[in-house]
Amino acid sequence: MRRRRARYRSKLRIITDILAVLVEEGGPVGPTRILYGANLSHERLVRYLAEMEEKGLVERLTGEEGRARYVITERGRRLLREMRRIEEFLQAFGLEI
Amino acid sequence: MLAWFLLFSTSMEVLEGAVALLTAYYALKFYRLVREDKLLKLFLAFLSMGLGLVVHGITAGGVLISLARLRPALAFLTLRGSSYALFTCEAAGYILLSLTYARLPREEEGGAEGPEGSAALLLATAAAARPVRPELLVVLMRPPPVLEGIALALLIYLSARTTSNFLSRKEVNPFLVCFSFLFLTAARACFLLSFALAALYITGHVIQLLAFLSFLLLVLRVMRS
Repeated sequence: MRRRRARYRSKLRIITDILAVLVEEGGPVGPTRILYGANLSHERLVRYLAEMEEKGLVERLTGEEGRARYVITERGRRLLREMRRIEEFLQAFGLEI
Repeated sequence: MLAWFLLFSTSMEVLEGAVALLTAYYALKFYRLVREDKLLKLFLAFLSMGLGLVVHGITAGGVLISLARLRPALAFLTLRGSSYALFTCEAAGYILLSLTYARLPREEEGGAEGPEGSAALLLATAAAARPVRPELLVVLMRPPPVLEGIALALLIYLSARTTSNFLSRKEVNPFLVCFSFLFLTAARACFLLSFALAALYITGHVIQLLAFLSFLLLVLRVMRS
């Protein structure tokens, strides 16, 4: 019987993925785009975005139609930069976050 | 001959240890940011290797400086003790690195007796400024061959893991780590064989230095990215 290996994503990995989507998009991004980009359920995305907003990693903007959109902050960019370095360092040894 | 040998060993080990400590510093810096267990293990592994090399190097240097005043038996005991300390630190480092790849039960470090009588005699001979066989100098500087064999086995495992990582990624940074471990393994094999042919001790240190320089290059590349 073939056993399927589930890939576990740490909280830090998910935060990095969300920040990466925001950087890739370049401007304010809606939750649906982030949800697909970071491969998350809506419930988890809402939880993560609230926490990231609280920590100053993302900023929530409200559009004319009252829809929430998110942008990465300078603090978020710094974290993403450091995370990419850490990822590179660990990957050199064949390890992952 | 003994003075030249100790001077070479001291300078190489301090240099290699410094690079290992620098790698440990960056692993700690990254660990403090993300509190990731693997980074803590990398930090402790490189710290252990670095401290072992620096302490052994400085001890050999200390013995070199005070060779004329030191009693041969005391010099022998100091060098022997520090070579065991070096092995313990290196083995601990390699075991920690192995643990980051696989959760294996902790291995017991074996103990073995070396030709201590000959080494003690060597120091007495050195004190009397008589020519000595270079292979006896190796006995002074390195832990016994059985312990070198244990470290070699650990390094072969780490080389296999890092080579497999490089072959699956085919990128520069995994190559540098793979290169480092292959060279550390080759250096260890040289140290093991140097009990029979002393020239391999020098070759081993040159190869080991290249391995640590490769780690340094990795750190510089990561920090520049």
